[in-house]
Amino acid sequence: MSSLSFANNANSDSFSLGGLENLKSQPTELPALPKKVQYQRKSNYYYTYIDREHTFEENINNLAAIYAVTWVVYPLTQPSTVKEKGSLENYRKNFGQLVFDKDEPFWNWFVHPISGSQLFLFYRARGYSRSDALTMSFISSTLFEFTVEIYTEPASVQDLYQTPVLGSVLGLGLEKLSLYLLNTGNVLGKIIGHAINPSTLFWFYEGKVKLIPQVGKDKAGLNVHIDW
Amino acid sequence: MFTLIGRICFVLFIAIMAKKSFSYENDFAVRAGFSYAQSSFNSLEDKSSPTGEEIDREDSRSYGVQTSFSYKWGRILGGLESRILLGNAADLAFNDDNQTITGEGSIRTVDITPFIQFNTKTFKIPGKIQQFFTGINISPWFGYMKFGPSWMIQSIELDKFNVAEEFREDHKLTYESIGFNLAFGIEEDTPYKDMHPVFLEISGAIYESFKVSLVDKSNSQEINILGSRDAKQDIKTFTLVLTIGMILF
Repeated sequence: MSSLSFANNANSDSFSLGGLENLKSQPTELPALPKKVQYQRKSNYYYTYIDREHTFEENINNLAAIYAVTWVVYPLTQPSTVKEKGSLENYRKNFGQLVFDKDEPFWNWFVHPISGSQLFLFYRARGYSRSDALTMSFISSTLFEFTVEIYTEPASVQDLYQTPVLGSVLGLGLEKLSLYLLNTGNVLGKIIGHAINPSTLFWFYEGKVKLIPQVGKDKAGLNVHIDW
Repeated sequence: MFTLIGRICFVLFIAIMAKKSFSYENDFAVRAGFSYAQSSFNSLEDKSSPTGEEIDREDSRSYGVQTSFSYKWGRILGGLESRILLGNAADLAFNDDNQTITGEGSIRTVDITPFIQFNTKTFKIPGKIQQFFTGINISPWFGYMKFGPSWMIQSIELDKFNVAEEFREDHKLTYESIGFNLAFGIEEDTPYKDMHPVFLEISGAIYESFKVSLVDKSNSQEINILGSRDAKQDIKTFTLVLTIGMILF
């Protein structure tokens, strides 16, 4: 009975054939296995989302953080509108008003859903489930519409709905695409993945899982390390 | 088209025979789908010309998306839904400040409807129909009816029009309307919403305008409202919408 032994170590990947000398036709030598380690893309992290429960205090802190950011981002992204239309008089007049805006599709179907998608992805990064992330986005965008944007214009019915809801639909697509790209391990994938889902870059992202392989005598395992 | 949709409504109504409705409970859900709509403007009254001849106006066809955000208690849902529809109208005729504007152009419609939905008990697709779709795992379904008040904004941009003064090509008219939306549909009754159950829905909505604005859109980033006034009954709209979609999460 012939035997086939297989040797594989870090220094040489090769087959050694024993007991096959008596065969009529000698087997051709198999090509050496490629050094797979050399070709593997190394990634220390696995990107995912880990849903968890949040305390009331955490919810308030997250809402407050986003609310503070909107006061900074709004005048920075629309300086001309704030300069031309913004005033405390308008703020007082617009307070509590709710209208159908007449904006062009660029704003209602592009800018607001994109803003909403990033809000959704922020709350997802903080460990909220999809439904909870949508609810938190709804609260955040409502606060923005009724207390920040009224410095220049009254709150809009379309924005109140479309920012969180269309935003979360878009956010769901961006979430799946970004995770796929980030976990490919290649540089371009990571750049695009982080670009469409910037929350994955920051310290508050809870889904960055560190995978540490552990190999010992008669055992092999994977140590999963999660920070939050 | 209306006849076809009417027949489908009738078949759905008959098909909604019941056992029990399961699916997810006491949870939020976001639905999204694609819609096809056919609208008639002023069709409630404006059926004849001043000379008494009957006018056969061409309906406006539009396509778009529908989303909804709802909470489910047992067999009752409450939530908000919105449709965005883009379409062309070849035979528009409506009043604006005591003058009639006729023409053709594009119409953008956004509506928002708070709704209450009542689900029927679960029913199964008959075996013969299941056999016809061999290879497709057909789940039990439930039927539903939902309704609610609806607010709509229509932006009308005319390519060719017949009107005196003021109205220019870089202007658009926006009508704000209020109405009522009634929908019937069926939805897959899956144990978990993560199985993304599919729904098919037909809805009818009637609107009456209450405000019109003339908007200068020459600068697409910063629109300028040239004027607004009350527009009670200027435009009456009847819309039938066919939507197919799924629960996303």
